[in-house]
Amino acid sequence: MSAELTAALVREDPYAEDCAEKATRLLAEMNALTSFHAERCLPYLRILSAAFHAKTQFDCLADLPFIPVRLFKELELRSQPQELIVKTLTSSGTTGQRPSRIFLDKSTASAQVHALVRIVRSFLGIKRLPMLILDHPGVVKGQNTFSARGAGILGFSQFGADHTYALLSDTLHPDWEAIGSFLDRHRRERILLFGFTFILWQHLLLVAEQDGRKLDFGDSILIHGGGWKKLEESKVSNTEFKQRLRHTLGIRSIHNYYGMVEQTGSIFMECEEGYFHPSDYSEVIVRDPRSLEVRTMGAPGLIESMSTIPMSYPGHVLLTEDLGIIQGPDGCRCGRRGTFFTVLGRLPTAELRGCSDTYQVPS
Amino acid sequence: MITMVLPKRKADHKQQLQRLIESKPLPPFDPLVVEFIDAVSKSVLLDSAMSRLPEMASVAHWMRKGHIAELRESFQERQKGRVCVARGMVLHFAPSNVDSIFLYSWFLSMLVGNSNVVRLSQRRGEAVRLLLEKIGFLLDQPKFQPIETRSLILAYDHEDSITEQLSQVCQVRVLWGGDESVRRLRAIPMNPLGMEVVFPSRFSLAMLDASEISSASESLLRQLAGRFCNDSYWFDQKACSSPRLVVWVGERGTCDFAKRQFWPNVQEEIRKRNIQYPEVVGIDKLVTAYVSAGLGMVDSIEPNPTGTVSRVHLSQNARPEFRNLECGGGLFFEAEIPDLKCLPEILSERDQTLSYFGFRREEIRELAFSLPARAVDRIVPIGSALTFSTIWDGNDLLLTFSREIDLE
Repeated sequence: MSAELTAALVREDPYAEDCAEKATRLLAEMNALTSFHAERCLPYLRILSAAFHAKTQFDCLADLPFIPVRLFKELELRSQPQELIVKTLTSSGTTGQRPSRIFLDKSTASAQVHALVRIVRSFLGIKRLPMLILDHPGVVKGQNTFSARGAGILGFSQFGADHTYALLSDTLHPDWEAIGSFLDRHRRERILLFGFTFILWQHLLLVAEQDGRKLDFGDSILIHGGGWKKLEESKVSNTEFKQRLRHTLGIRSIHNYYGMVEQTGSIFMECEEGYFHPSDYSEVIVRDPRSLEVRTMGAPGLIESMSTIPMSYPGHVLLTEDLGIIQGPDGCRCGRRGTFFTVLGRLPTAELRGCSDTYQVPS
Repeated sequence: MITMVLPKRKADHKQQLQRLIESKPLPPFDPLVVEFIDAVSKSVLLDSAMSRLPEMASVAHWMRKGHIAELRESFQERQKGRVCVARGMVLHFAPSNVDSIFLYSWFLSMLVGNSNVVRLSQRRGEAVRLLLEKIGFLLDQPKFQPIETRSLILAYDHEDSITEQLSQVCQVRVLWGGDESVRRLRAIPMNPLGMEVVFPSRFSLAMLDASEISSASESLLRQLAGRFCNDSYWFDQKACSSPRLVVWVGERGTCDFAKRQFWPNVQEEIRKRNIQYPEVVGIDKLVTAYVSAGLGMVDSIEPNPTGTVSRVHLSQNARPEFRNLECGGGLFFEAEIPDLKCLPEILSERDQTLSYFGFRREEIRELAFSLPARAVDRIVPIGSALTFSTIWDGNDLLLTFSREIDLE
């Protein structure tokens, strides 16, 4: 495992492998991880026995035993003894639901950092950039448990210098003074902006628009993530999102990332062409939401996300509840190789109420 | 928010409540009440959109004059000359999973002469909306005025203060609902003289004789699959009486053969009825199946767990808590036992309805006497699991809603 990891780390560009090369390498790593977790995580082993005849070695990526990402809300899934767990990540979770709990040991935590560094550096370069965090400092308080938002901010902070928070802790109102002096300090420098899609939209952009403020962030790159769910509800497209940020805040380059707390580190960055790219650490396939059969390129379905990172919990092959489309194997115009894809949003929720008039077509 | 659903013309639920409190009870099976219930039945049956819905059709059938007469006969028979009269005012809390329950609860109480307050949830199905409309129309007719003055239907969600006010003036409180809501409502004090009847979450199972299935004809298997689908899918497997565990009785090999005979017929029936759930329901079932496996409750998951029929095999040493792993939409636990005598070992107090196929009446009677404490309140043929009975969860509702005058 660690030899392969080191080998992967040596290569600079995390997007150099083509699909075929990667499939072979990744399959070996994934099979190794499946065996590893089967030996150490009893609930995972039970699932493999019940649904996959206890097999741990598979012949292709599509056959790998995926588990629904929601399982981390329902079960305590850990492949290392509690005393080796150094950090527990939790998802924010929708109301009424239990949050996911992700248990990290030292080596998984550091593998997350390595992966994130290689992926993000390929967009930012190696120099630390002045960093404006489009959130409030209250999110990162807490000792050993972190919200996904807090973990994201801490994870990305390593790419920045002169970390400055753009929102005030108690009101979430823009701290225009702090933003202004940050910009004054870094005129003509390339700056990094980081935040959560909905937070920066709601609490920075909309407020700036309402106040009629116009800013110029200059040579800036924005990296944002956390999901489109709330923006989708307000019918804001990615194109509109970018246009309005460019117009009001003068942000030049904007990259969304797709990721989940269950696979922190191996995030999927949006390229200049607007597509998400798996890196050396990850791969995606898309499945039919009803049959769970693998869907071909161009057809929408549930995103299955693979990651080489998780060693302290069995989260290396996860079936998400997000819908996406594989746009191609290799050949994205941005130049990155391997699979590239788009995300359509969450699988619509529905609640069975038990009324016979809801779904049944009377015969 | 409190909405007064019925009667329609009255603006204020407090005034209407006062009318209820002041009304004298009606005698049991008063002809006007029987006529009213029959009129509701007719108005449902005359509406083709409603009578097409299996749930509404069975409600309408239950309300017919003929059936009510049967109820009166058995009520009188059980009294054997004793004097039973209404208790006064009954407060009903309708469950959210099976919409029609409120009607049975209300009308049975009305039949023995009580005034009734029914609390519905703000979220209601379309069929119930139509049904309430028809009832409201009938209540407005002058001849049914004695019933109108004794009925109040309210819709509200979590206003505990109104629940407390109503609980202080009722003689019986009837709670239908999930464990959580029953627990919450029971904590609200009621009239010290009042009594409470509770119908919390239950679990139900079906039991099939493997050798009877193995030797059954194709047409019998098809019919059985149809009845099993009625029990399981009418309320999206969310009704307490819908089977969630299927127990096969027989030798292991015979059980395996019987399953291969039975399940394809269920699949075919579902295809014919065009039962299909939203995609996320399949994912819910996948998650529940994997959680069950992860907890050691289930040792094998049949292929295609996201399909309309999902089958998981119960582990030998599964704890009774597997009953809490619930998602509806057609997820079945399966188990095998060599002999009917082994059934009591796997039962628990949560178990309500045991529906069966392939057993003789004597065998079933014998089983009824060997049941563990509290487990199983109904044993009915497959196909009748959802049939409403005046005996529910071990209570005779007509007797529960009335009081006996000790006459010497």
